[in-house]
Amino acid sequence: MRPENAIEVKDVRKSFRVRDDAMSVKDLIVYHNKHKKESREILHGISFDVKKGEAVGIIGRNGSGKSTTLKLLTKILHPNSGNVEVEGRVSCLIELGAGFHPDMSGRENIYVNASIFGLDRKETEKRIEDIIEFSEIRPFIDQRVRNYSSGMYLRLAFAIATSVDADVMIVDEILAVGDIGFQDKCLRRFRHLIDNGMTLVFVSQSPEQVLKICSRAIWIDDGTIRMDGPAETVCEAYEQYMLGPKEDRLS
Amino acid sequence: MVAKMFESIRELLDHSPMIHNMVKREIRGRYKGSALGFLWNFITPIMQIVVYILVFSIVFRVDIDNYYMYIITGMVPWIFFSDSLIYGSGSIVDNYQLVNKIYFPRSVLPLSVVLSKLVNMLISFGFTFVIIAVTGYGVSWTALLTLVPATILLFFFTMGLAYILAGLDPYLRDIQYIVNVLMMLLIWMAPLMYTHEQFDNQFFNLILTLNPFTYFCDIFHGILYSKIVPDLMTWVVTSGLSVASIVVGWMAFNKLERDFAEVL
Repeated sequence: MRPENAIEVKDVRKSFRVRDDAMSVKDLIVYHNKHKKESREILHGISFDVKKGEAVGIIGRNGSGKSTTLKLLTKILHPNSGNVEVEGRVSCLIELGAGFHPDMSGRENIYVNASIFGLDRKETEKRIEDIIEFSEIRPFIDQRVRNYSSGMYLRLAFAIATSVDADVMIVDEILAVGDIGFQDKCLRRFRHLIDNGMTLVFVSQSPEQVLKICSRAIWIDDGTIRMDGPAETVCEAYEQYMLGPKEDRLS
Repeated sequence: MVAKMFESIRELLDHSPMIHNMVKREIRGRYKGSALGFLWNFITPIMQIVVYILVFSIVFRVDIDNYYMYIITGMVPWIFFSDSLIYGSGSIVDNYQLVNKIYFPRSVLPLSVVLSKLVNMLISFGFTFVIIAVTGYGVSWTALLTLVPATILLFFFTMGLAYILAGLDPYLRDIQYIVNVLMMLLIWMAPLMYTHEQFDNQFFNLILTLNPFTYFCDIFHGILYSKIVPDLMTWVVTSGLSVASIVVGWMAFNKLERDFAEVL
């Protein structure tokens, strides 16, 4: 890995087995599971590098392979071929409230969630005030998260994930459930972290958000990289492709 | 290969704050919301033990000296073993929302379950000593010293099996149910309610010899019930079983964990 890079992705292919349902005894005995080996390739060999401190937006329509790419970056999935390397502590926000225990309070969940990212109790204690402050849910922090709204989940999850001193942060399109005030606050937080040297990979359905924080964008279409370049150029091409010429659009 | 194994162990240890939290969550979170909460960790096993003592001493009139001590000292490690495997085998599937969405060493999950059951067992041993003190049953202090290595051996033996089962479970969901049924059978295939001497049936003796838990059962009965230091042979067999179990379990789990997120 080159020293200036935080992420290197080389010729990555990823396919998933196509299965109707889980293995059953009938399949095992009668078919020896033969015709279940079919697989579908989702990523057809993608490559890109991300430099340290760079903010990259990933755009593309539903089902194009964005989330699969993110999961490969976070090591949740492994590629069938090719190589994924990420350097440093990784923090991710892939789905809302992953790892929250519904019957524990918000405060207890902060400790659990932060420890998944590798923080010990002392480190979490140092940050807990900031986390609660940023999330703006102090009146509810000692209540069970079962009763939280999705916006409150997002606030807490976001506040934790951005407080763990990550070198690389990977974010899927989850900001959408926050109100516009909080979304703006999140984007400013990203900006601040990037200015302090963090690397960000940000998947969004909103080219507008990508433009606000990312200098570069990658457009993934049908499992390949269709365009990779300055955020303005890529977002414009993407909008052009998805929505048609500017003058025909709903204003 | 060996380097990779050490790397994965180091990564697991790096996540000790997470293990700590998951153990707490396992012990307190499982019964959260119920009125008795944490106490449920003990009510079920205590009732189980009481029922066995009553049924066998009153209904079947089993003739074993201090039968209650015999049952308690065998059942406490058994409950650790069977609970660890029943809950441990489902630990990956039960936490699919975590496995699918955040990266962390997956080996944290089965370990946390088994550690939480270990905590329960240590507390149960505490209760056992209270009973020993109250009834004046007494202990042998030399034998008691070997309770520590015995517990460590049982822990690693159980841990290895839990890793194998938890690793297979996402691919074959029947594992959890199979373990449940197996535990129902195995409890009668170890000298927990009866002694070795009670049976003179070759087939049955063979089953007892083949059941690995028999040797652990013998160790705990030896230390706490018979108040003797278990013989060398028992130590050799249990050490062999523990090492084999944890090595095979750890390697199998590391192979199986790669595709967890795809099958969950």
